[in-house]
Order: sequence, then C-alpha cells, then structure tokens
Amino acid sequence: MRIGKRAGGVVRAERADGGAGEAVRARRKQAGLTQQALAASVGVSRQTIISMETGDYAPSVYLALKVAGALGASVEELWGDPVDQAPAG
Amino acid sequence: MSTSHLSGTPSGIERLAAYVLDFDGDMYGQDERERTRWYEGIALAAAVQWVVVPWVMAITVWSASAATAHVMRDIGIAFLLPMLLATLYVTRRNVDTTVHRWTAKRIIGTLLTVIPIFVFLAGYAHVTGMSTATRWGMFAGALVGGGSVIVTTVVARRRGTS
Repeated sequence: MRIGKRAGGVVRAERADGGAGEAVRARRKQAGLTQQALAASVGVSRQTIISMETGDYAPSVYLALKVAGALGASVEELWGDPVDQAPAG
Repeated sequence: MSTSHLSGTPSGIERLAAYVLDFDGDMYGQDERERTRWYEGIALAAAVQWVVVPWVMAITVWSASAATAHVMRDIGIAFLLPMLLATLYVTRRNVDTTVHRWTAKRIIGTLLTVIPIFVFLAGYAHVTGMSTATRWGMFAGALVGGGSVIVTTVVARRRGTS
C-alpha cells in the first residue's frame, strides 16, 4: 500500500492503481448486501459506505475491521494494494 | 458525556470538550466520517471568523461612538479569548504545536490576525479620546501581554518535550 498526501496535507492510504474503495464495493456485491444493509450492520450511515466505496473516506482501523468482518474479508483485501498482496515469485 | 477515550484524569478543558463536542452522541453526525466532516466544517468557520471578525472590528471602530467602541472591545475580548482554547486543547491532547517552518501561508495568516487587533486598538483609543500616555500604556500592555503568551507557550513546549 502506498501512503500518499492529498489536498490539505492529510495522509491517506491510496491504492497505486487508483482503485481505493473498489474492493469494498466488489465484496459487498459479492456478499449480496445493499449499501444500506452494510451500513446498518456496521453502524454507519449509507453515505459513509458510499464514501468508502468511492475512496473519499479512509475509515479508522476500528471501522475498517468492522466492515471487513461484515464482508467476510480482511482489511488488507479491502484496502490493501494488490501489488503488496501478490504472491512473491 | 464520556471522557473514556482519555488516558489519565481528564482536565477541565477535556471535560468541556467532551460535553461540547458530544463525543458519544449524534449531535455531529451518525458515525466517525460524518463527525470528522462536521469538525472540519466548524474548524473552517472558526478559521474564517478568526480573520473576518477582527478586521470588521478594526474598520468599523473608527466610525463608532465611544460607547459603541467599549461594547466592541468587550465583544472582541469575548471572541478572541475562547479561540485560545484551540491551542490549549490540542496541546493537552499531545499535539505538537511547535512551528517548524514559517511558510508564506503561516506568515500571511499571522499578519491577517494580528494587524487588525492593533488597528482596532488604535481606533478604540481614537474614538474614546484616550490621552497619549494612556494610549502608549495600552499598546505596551498589548505587547507585554502578547509577549507573555508567547514566552509562556515556548516554556510550556520546552517542558513538554524535555
């Protein structure tokens, strides 16, 4: 995972392929959950799920663990960089 | 109100923050993202106020009556003093407030907030008909007061880092 700087100097995790949040959307659809259902299961608003899926919001580690748990995935799978997760060959 | 996120005994300012910022309530949104956005919005408003209010006071005091100038002075004090809470609070919460680099933005921001205070004091002295000696006393007091705040802050930071 690459740690990047955005406007305002806020440090956020960024995917090297620019697809931050895409994995959340994919895993949610795979799990057959609506944004509203996922929001309700982790105790946040639907807008917050949308923000995570569009990469506008990087959740705290606590919320990330909740979302990962609800989707049956790991935090690395959802927000990690695919390059980092590729098996070493 | 909860101060359970704090380590050690919460200070008065931390208790005040926990109450005002409603850490466990929904006054600032339903979740952590919405809370963050609310806090960003409030910080933005405060940053703009920090510049706009002193400048409005600095400009309008020149056409005010003496009685109005006294009221403006009191409102100005009531406006500026709570702003010091920001630095006190973040220092208490272990934020390093040391200025590492005086960037152009920081210099401009400082000038934009400090200059109107002195312009207001000059206007206040003018419309209230202060004697020259009193005016010099007021400006000396402002300089000494400002200097004391800076020295106290520097000493507190050095103690905190040693």
